[in-house]
This record gives sequence, C-alpha cells and structure tokens, in this order.
Amino acid sequence: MRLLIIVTAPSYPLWKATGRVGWQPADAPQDAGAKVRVVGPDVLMVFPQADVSNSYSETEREEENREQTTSWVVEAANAPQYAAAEKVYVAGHEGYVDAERVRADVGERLDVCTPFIHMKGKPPYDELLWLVTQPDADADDAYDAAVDAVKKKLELTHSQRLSTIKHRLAHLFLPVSVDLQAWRSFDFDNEHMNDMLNWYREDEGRMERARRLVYEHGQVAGAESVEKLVKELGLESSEAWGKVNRLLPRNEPTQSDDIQAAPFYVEVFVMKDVLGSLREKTGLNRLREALEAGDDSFNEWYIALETALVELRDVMEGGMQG
Amino acid sequence: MNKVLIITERDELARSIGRYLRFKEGIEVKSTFPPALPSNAYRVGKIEWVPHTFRKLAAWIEDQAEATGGDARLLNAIVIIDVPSLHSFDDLDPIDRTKDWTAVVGMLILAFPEVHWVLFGPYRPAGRLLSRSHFLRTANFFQDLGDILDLHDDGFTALFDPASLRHEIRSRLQPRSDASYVPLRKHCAAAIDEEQNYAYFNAYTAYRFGFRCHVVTSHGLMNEILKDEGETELQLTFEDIYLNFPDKRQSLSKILTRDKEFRALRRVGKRIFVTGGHKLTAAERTTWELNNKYLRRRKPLGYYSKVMFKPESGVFDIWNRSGLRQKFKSTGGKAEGFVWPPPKAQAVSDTGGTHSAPGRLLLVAELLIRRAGRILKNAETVPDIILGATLALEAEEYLGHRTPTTSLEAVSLKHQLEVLAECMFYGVEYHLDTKSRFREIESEMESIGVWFRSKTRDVSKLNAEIGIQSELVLSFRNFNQFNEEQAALSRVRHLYRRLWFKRHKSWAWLFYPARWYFDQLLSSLAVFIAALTGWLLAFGAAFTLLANSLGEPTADSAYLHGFEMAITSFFGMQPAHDLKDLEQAGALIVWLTIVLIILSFIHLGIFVSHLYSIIARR
Repeated sequence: MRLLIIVTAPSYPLWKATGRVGWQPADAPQDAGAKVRVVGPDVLMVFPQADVSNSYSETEREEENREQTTSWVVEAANAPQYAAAEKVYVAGHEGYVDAERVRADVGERLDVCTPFIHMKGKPPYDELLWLVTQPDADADDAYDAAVDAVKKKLELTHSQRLSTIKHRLAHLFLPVSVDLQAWRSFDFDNEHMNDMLNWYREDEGRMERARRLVYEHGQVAGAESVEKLVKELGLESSEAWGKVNRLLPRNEPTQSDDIQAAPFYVEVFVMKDVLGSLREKTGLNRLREALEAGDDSFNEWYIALETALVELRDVMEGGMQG
Repeated sequence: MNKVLIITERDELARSIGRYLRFKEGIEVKSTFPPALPSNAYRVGKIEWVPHTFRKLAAWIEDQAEATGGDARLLNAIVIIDVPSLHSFDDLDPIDRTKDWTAVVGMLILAFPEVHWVLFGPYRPAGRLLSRSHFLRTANFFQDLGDILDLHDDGFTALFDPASLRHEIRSRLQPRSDASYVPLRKHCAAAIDEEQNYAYFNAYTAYRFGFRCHVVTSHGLMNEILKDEGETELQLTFEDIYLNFPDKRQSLSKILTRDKEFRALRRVGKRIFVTGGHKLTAAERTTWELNNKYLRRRKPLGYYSKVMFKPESGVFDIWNRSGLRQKFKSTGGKAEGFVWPPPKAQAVSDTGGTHSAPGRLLLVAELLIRRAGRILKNAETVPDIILGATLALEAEEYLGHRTPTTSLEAVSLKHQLEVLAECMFYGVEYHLDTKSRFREIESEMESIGVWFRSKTRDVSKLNAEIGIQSELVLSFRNFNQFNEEQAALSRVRHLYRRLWFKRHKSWAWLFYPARWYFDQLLSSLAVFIAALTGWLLAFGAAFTLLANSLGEPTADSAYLHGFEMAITSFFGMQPAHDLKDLEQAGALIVWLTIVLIILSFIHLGIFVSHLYSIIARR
C-alpha cells in the first residue's frame, strides 16, 4: 500500500474536489479536516494547510502555520491506520511543510516530500489535480502518474541542486582559468602577471573550499554538498560519482594507492602545483613556460571535473544507477 | 564599449573578469553583490526580499550610469550577472513568488532593456543566438566571454530584444491571468544601415509595431546573424541600399550580391529598402536597374519589397508609406501575434485580473518611466531619445494600461520622446504625420479608460488626453513644427470643448454650436476661407431675397447687388448703404446688416491671428 498526502490551500480546486462522492473524512490527523479516498490498493489523503495562528506578524503566522501543517503530515503518515503503507509520498503547498522535519519524524517509509505551487503547467500540480478529480475507475493510472510527478519533481530538484553546487565550484576555479587564459592572450604581459600575483599572494584554502562543496565531512549539519545528494539518491556506487572522486579526491593524496586513484589531480595540484604557483613569481614563470609549451592542464582538469559533474547530474535526472 | 558591470555572489570571479577587461578594453569594471537571502526564509521572506533586492540593485545600476553621464550611458552597457539557481527560463518569471534571486534577475532584465545582459548560471538555452549573446558556460567561460565581447564590438544591441531574452521572460508572464495582457513579439526584423541614427529609428519603428529587431551597423554583425540561411529567421528588414559600413569588406549595393553573401536575407518576406535615391553616376544607375530587375523577379514568389527615399518622416509615416500597415491589416496593422493594446474583453472578464498591474511589474514600470523622464530632459542624440521612447513603451506594455495614472505617464512619455526623435532627427522630413498619432492617443485613452470609475470615465479620459496633447503642443513649438503644433492645438481645443460640454450639459448645449464653429475656424486657414466664402454667399442670397421682396428694382443682377452688399458690409464693417436708406428698406435688412458686421468683426480677428501665426511661425 502507498500513501500519498497532498497539502493544499482551501480555496483551490484540489481541496474543493474532495467534496465529491468517494471521499471520506479521515480519522487522522485530528483537527485537520482531512479527506481520504482509497485508490485500488493505495490511499490518497488531502487536507488544507493550517491556518491556526493568531499572530499579527505575517512571518510568525507563516512559521506557526507551517509547524502545525507539518505536525499534521507527520501524524497522518505515522497514524496506525496507515502504518501498513510501505511508501509515503507528500506533496505540500510550497512553504507550508517542513520537509526536513517530515523526513526525520517519518523515517525510511517516507519516499519523498516535495513542495508544489497551484499553477497549471507547473509539475506536479496538473497530475495531482487530475488524480483528485478522477472517478474511481480511472484513478489507478492517475495515482501512479501523480506519484511519478511528485518523485520526478524531487529528482529534478536534486539535479538542480547539483547544478547550483557545480556553479559554486565554478566560482572557485574559473577565476584561475580566466586569469591564466587572459594572461596567455596578452602574451604573458608582466603587468598582468604582477596583478595576478598581488591577488593570489594571500590566496589559500581554495581546494579545501572545493572539498566542502563536494564532500560532507567537516561541514555544518544540513549544508549542501554533492555527496549529500548522491547519498539521498543512493548513487554512491555510480561511475559518475567515482569520476568526481578521482578528479577531486576527498583528501589530499599522500599514499601511493590514493595517488594512483587520482592521477589527473596529482599531476595538476601536486606535481605542477598550479594553485601554489600563482602565489609567487617563480611559480608563475614556471606556469608561463608550461602554457607557452601548450600545457593547459589546469583548464583541462577543470573541464574534466565539469564533465563528470554533468554526467552525475544526468544520472540523477535519469534516475539510473551509474 | 563604455561600461561593464558585474553582479556576482563572489568577488573572485568579478576580479578576474575585471582584470581581463581592464587589460583588453582599458575599462574599469564595477561589481557588487546581491544581498543574501536568509537561509530560513520561506514564502513571506522571499516575497519581501525580492522587491527589496530589486530596488537596491536597480539603484546601484542607476548610480553607475549617473557617475558617467546619465541614464543614456547604460545603452549597450554589459552587465554580467551570476544566477546559480537558473535551470530554465521559468525561473526568471518575475512574478513567481516561489522564486527568489532568479525573480530579481527577471525583473532587472525587464527594467533595463538597453543593457546587454549576460547570464552566468547552470542553464543554457538551445537557441544559438540567444545562448551566444546572453549566456556564459562554465566549461567554455573564457571563449564565451570573448564571443560576447566580439559581438558587442560589432555593434550588437539588446535594446530591441533581437535574441529574444525578454521575449522568453514575457512568455512566462502571459499564461498568468493577472499578466496575460503583456504582448509578445514572436517575429524578428532587422534594421541595416551604416548610419546609426537611421538604424535605430527604423528598428524602433519595427519594435513599436510588434517586431523584435536587430540593429545592424557593421559588416561583422551582419555576418554573424545573416550569413547562413536558417540561422536567423527574419520576417522584415529595413535596409539601406548603399551600405558603407566602417568594416566594409565588399560592395553590397547590388541586392543580388548581398543576398548571395547573406543567405538569411533571401527568405525575408518583406524588405523595405531605404535610400537617398542618388543616381548621379552611371554605376549608380546600373545598380538601380539591376536591383529593380532582381526585386521584380522575386515579387511573383511572394516576396514583398518597397523602396523608400530618405529623409523619412516619422514612425507612423514609415509604417504607412512602406505599405506595411496595409500588409498587416488583418492583424491590426501590426506584426502577427502582437496583440496591443490589450483587448477590452480581457479587462472585463472574470479572469482578467484587477485594475492594477501585478506589483512587481508596476515596480519595473515605475523605474522605466523614471528613467525615460530623465532622458526626455537630458538626451542629446537620436539613439538616446530612441532609448527613452523604448523605455516608456516597455513600461506601457508591462502595465497593460492598468494602474491608469502610471499608464498615462508612460503613454505621455512615449509620445513626447517619439515626437522629440522625429523633430531632432535630420533624417526625418519637416512634416510629420500627426493624424495617426492623435488617433493612437485616442485609442490608448479608450483602453486605459476602461479602468477608470464608470461615472467619471468620460471626463477622466478627456482630461488625460488633454494633458498628453498639451505636452505635444509644447514639443512641436520647441522645434518650430508649426503645422504640427496647430494640429495639436486644434485637437486640444476640440477636447476642451467636449470636456466643457460634459461638465455643463444643462446649459452648454446652447453655446456648443458656436464654440464648435470657432474651433473649426481656428483649426486651419482653408476652413476659415471656406467659412468666409459661405457667409458671403449666404448673406448675399439673403440680401437679394429681401431686396426682391421689397420690390427694389436694380440695374444689375439682383444677386450681384445682394452679394455686393454682403461684401461691402463684411469687409468694410459698415452698412452697404446709408443707414437711413436701410431703415427705409425695412428692419430685417438692418438686423441682417448688424449681424453681418458683428460676424465680420469676429472673423477678422481670427483671420489676423491666423496670418500673424503663419508669418511669425509661432
């Protein structure tokens, strides 16, 4: 049995459709005024978002209503009559359900908790509306479609979140790439070099910042990282994630096994020490010689990392194990 | 390149780009950071943060312009903006309240249409020109940046949305019930001329009537967008025949040669050739013949072309004389798919929204109007004025004629700036088409008037139109456009009369005919002369009939005598015969004479005023 919980706003068709034949008042959550309907072996529950706050402050009001609505979602998912549901899906009106708390309080049975807005053309609203307005005979397919849409929204959210992290990584490495390419385009102009030197002289910790975006360790709890997304989707053993690990290893490789596992990284950041070279004149001269000889390894490494992250994103969107 | 601004989350990338541009172009790049969105901000937090951030960044951009000479300095400035959460154009929907930074970016793009926006984020659209002009890829950042700078150096301008960046954002607004009035420009045109003023003027005309438009003032840009067939789809072009680009590589005066070189031109359905028309040399005459021959061969294939001669004569006249108004008759004289002004039905339907535009679009429109107003006061060149007119036009469209007061401001500014462009541009001939403009103003008042309170709607519309027309009178006067000024004054008098009548209906009807008559006399000298002639003929006939009825024999034709009396009394402002003789002839003739003298006095005053205006050209 699956349980799909939809939290909507009382003025919208999603709630108004529950006034039709086939819908029953739900025992849980209490006070939510929820309605349920059995769809084949599954259960569909709809209730309106809470409006219990008496606060004058709009922000406080929103906060309190979200707290209450989230409590109702948790109560519904954990209610004894739905304990048999192996999978619970929650589609909550954007801003009214705290997904983190639902995940923590419902546990492994929760497959997905995703926000949505009541707008035609914005998934999964169309599928949800289609489901709640279907007569029983046609509701099975509509239920599957709604669940897929809710899950797909989350998968898209994962790939979007990865794109955002990828973009933040770009902010760390693109300045170096731009500076080196620009320097080369100006025939390694000395004034440009001095400008770069002044900027990068105090530059430290770039690779550590990159690792904090990719890996979970050493971060503030709840902070976004590529590894967190990978774990949420169970893609730890995917080839795409492996590529990322090899290009940007979790720790600075010192053991021979680690060195062999990340050859490109070692070449660029250990042997050639591109980042370190930017901080001093001798290093920059070494870089110039390499660039003059056609060695663009830093840029090539960066493009390889970009490509690996794009592959990982595609895997997330495709929902495949790599 | 005059200005590059960077809005990014992190300083490092801005500095690297700034360093590159300082060395490459010799310009100092300015950068700033958007205010951080609190991590726990949910719906309400985002809803408040978006307009606050928009105002802050808009003010910063305006300050950068101010520091280097004013709003017009933003024309073709490049702004690189960091959008880490951009995954599709849907994210740039400015009134989507679930979006935060991307909604701000959408608002900024709409509020600064003249800026060459360059978005740096995870998303890259499929369209080649759109992605090449407005997006940077992380994997190919340096090359993409170089391409954008090259495009910019070739004269690319985003003002008329040739790459459809604003069109994509508008497309996200249209499905919304509260913003469905925002018009879309589905088709694209090109204005090709080495003279920047002509190129901008013609591009603005195309934009105004529903086309996005390229402004092509270099061979390099022409190469970029028109070289390959299928690369760019254009429905309309305004082309100078004798193209002498600064980076000219070959002669393009022969249209056949031009079409062979730039294959995208072959498929353009409507081509307007704008030329000075010189045929002084044998080579020029040969070129003319060859061009005529080529264009005649294309005609049976359904390709429309027209040659227009410089100087031009205003946006309406260009559209009329080129035959385009007729060609687009089925779509209201505008491009297909461009629905403007918003249909009245939309305003009164249940799903048509309220009398106000969405708050964020109002914010955008207010900024556009403010800047257009400043440009009106300070603009020095034709492109700057065209910029101002475009800002006002954009504001009008984002308001959809709702929020009536602000809409009226936008409409007024648009017309003032257009008139200013027409008057200032030496490429526009002396006499401008005012009829079409006044007709359009009237229809705009009709459209805006839907949102006025029904009881005072008519009066409000009249007041609004009087305000706009009065400003146009001043504009025409400032540029010694005498006939246009007179036409505008005549229109203002007409509107005042109607307003006066609406306000004093109980007794105004008594005097309305007289007031109407005097307004007609003042409208033109031809009408005045016709009226004089009419009075003389009428009084001549009256005097004749009276003389006959009194049995007065005359040596000459009775009518001639009557006419002679009328002329003498009218122009002499005295009775035709001695008063005692007239009295003997009857009281009626005396009264007739008195009335004629009074009328003569009034008409003489008006006539002297006409004459003086013509001579003094005031």
